[in-house]
Amino acid sequence: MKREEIEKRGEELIKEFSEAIADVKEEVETYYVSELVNVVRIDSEPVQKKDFKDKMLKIAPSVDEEGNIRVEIGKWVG
Amino acid sequence: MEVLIGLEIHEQINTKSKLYCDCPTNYRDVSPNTNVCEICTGCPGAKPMPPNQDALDAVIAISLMLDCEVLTNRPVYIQRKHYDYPDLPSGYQRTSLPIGINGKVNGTRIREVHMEEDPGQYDPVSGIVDYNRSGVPLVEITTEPDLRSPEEARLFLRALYRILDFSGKAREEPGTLRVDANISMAGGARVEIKNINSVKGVYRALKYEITRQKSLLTRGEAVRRETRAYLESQMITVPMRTKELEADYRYIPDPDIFPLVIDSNKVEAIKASLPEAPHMREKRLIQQYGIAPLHAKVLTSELALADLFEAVAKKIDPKIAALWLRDKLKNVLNYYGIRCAESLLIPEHMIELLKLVQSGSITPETGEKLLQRMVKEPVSPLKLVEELKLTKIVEEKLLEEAITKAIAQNPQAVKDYLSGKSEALNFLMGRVMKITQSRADSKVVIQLLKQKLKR
Amino acid sequence: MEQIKSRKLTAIENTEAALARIKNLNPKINAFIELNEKGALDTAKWIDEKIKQGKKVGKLAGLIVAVKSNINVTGLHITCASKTLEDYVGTFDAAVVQRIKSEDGIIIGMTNMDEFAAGSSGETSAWGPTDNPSALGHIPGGSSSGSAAAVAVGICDLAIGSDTGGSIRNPASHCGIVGLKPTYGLVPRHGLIDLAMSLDQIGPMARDVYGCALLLEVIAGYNPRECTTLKVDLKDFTKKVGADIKGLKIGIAPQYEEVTVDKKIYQKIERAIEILKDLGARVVQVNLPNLKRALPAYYLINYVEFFSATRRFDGRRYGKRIEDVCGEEVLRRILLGSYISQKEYRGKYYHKAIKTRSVIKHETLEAFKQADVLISPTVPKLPHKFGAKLTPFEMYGYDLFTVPTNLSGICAGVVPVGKIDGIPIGLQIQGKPLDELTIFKIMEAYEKSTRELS
Ligand SMILES: [Zn+2]
Repeated sequence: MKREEIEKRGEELIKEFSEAIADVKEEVETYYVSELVNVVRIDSEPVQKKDFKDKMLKIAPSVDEEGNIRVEIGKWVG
Repeated sequence: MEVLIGLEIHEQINTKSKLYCDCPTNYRDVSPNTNVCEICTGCPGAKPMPPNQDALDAVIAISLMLDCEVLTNRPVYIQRKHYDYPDLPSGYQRTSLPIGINGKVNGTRIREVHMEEDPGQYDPVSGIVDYNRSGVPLVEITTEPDLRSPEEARLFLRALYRILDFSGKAREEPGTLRVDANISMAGGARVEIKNINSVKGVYRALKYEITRQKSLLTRGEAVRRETRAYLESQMITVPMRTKELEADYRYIPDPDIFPLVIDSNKVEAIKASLPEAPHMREKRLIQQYGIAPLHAKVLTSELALADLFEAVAKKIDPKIAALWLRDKLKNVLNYYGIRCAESLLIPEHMIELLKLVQSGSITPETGEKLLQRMVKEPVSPLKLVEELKLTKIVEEKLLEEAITKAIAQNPQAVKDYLSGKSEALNFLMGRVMKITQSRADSKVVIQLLKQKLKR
Repeated sequence: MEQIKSRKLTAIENTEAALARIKNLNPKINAFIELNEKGALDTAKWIDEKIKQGKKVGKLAGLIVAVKSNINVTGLHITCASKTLEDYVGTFDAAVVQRIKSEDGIIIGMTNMDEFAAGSSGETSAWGPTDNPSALGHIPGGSSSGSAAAVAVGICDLAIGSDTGGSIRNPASHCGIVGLKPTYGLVPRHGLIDLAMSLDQIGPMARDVYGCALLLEVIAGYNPRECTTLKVDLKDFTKKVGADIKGLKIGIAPQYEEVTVDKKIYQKIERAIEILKDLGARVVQVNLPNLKRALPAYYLINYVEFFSATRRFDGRRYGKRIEDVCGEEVLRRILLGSYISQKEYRGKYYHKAIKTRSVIKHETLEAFKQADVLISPTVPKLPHKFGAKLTPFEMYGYDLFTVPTNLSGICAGVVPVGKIDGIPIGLQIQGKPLDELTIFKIMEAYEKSTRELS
């Protein structure tokens, strides 16, 4: 199916959805299921993951000899 | 034409580990993609670790030093700011809601202070990305559009940078500062300049942009609302035709990270342990040590320099210490193009050096030469003096020899001096110093030369 | 497992037998899309060695575990059944995978699923649909389709799936197995590829309640390396499941029967409730007037969070750019998520959905003041046959009973309660937050009583 068609049908879908909840009077927004706050960690000695780099470079579509990931060139500098 | 400039400044926080993972933050010291893991490279399924508490505390401390009100007892969500750019591994940057608001620096209003994560490093010219920097904590500071000229922007940034330095929370390496500038002129739209990496760069980018916009406006053309990139190498700005950068960031609270609620008691505790602000320290140095205001200004241009001064002033006459640090040390640092924080000079060595000069064991000139080595390696000047035999020449005979040699080698200068050109004497003194490797007392040399060349 | 510990069956034998069954049956069922043959045999050998030397072995020693393809296992292709990730090889072990490995479970392979878990039928996989081994020719349900089918057909002992709006419970019901969606935050999510982060949970799937409880025991618990797991004492699920259910209050809402499309399904549920009553449970009425609003709220939230989650699939570091290669439903969710999270529309759609979620959550927790559990069908209609064309809206209808659990952050289990026209029907038991144990007790009691009957 074409992207445009998905978008068009999708709009009908969300219109239907939003109508189904239009009369909800609630004002509280629940972004999280648990009401926890301040889940933090203390800065500690860092860990260098020795074998991660190889795994990452192996699956990258393009890399250079120094171990950088190769991507597109910036359009405005080209 | 009136110019309105607002800045958005990013500076790295000096934690040991990254904001949302425990990778190291010393990204400059390692080869590409070494300090990385599944979290900071946006692997599928990777979840952030809980936010680094020390980074948050640093942002609170910095907010307070910028005279901001810290927002307490309400949820500060970590938001996802979505945009597509090669350096952004998850396709969104995590940025907190404001932690500090309504601050002031040098009369310029600070709008907001946020906590963010740094993206990786993308070179748009070669098209390569290194994610070592990805996830390093950042403080983001935005100003109101209160600045009126590139010069004002420069002064503001210097003042801001000094405060960040004195906070002790920012990374000490240079080049960690990044600035986006918003600029609008009467009759034109607001233009955002991204990608500026130095105070000098901000000044140049703004100058260029003002000239560009002025010429458009005087020609009767429109200044479009757009985002432009500053190209350091050419000192110009160019349009960034990336659609995503203009677009809606579609902020949502990150479902993987719970909101932070900053306790007012915690803010009080951080306030109580806040380091002295640079302008307060400047005042105190003048009062406590009786040094010249101009000296105090230079000494408080950098935290490490101010700390060094106070450590040295415990053992050495503060006025002499101030003079040496301001003149001789600053010269050496400028010569190498480094900041005091980057030098390897320790207070004990500086004290030793000044004692050697004060006792007359070495000449001031020798002292300055030693300083050149001492900022590059942590070496005791006493040892250096012994090793290199640099003590001041006191034997008349050795001085005689050097002076005779200098006179013999420079007949023209002798002639000049005898014919009345007194500056020739300084030249001859320089030759003697060179022959003696600066170990001669310059005053004694002048006297001896005068005696030798009686007109 | 007792057979393995008592050395009647070695881990190697169990693994080889599983591999043989997979080779025989998988071409028909299409439950696995990646096998870990060598890794599994190596692990099995190592476990047998440990047993031989009299060393202590883990809770899952020698058991064959299948993993849904949206959960990272180092070195295996973790594709989410999408072309997007067809070349992505797991760079790390998900927290649950670490726990399975450290309890000596044998990871046999990665199971098929709806692409990116965005489906309820198992048909949207780029590797083709999974068949329902319990009702061939019908969809197995989804999105944990391969995990459910593999368990049902007996080509693995246990499986893990993920559940965002019913993805464990829906296929468990259609395939006739036991599955559980844990309380949000009970099981670590690190390594689970996101569908909707605020709703996703990994959970166990097994042929019986004991297996399900055993696997949950292994994977549940606080993980300091992520934010959203809860600091709770681990319940000893397997030790406690046997207890009786006398006096437990079963909550039933009138809305449950109203929205059940296939009335025969509701009759099955009523019969199951009668059995539970015979076992000493009491029925209480609860009211859930907003039940029908859960589905729209769920999908709007799902679209936005999924849009956000997929921004990393830009094809730069791994895989391909998602919009270039993904299927229709995945693209629909990305486009709609992008649309409704825009500044000008978010108030009308996203924020409204987030507010509706507050209503649903409140209503559900209110119902638990009267009832210990809520009992309903798992899905309101029978699974369709392959080839039937459903509109997105019809497809979403399968999730009606399951999404409120996720929106409320509570737990729910599914246990088979018989068949209609040869198609299995699962009973859904929703429990209070962190009250998985009560769900296990009821499922176990039901399972035991029907086992005795047959
Ligand atoms: Zn990392």
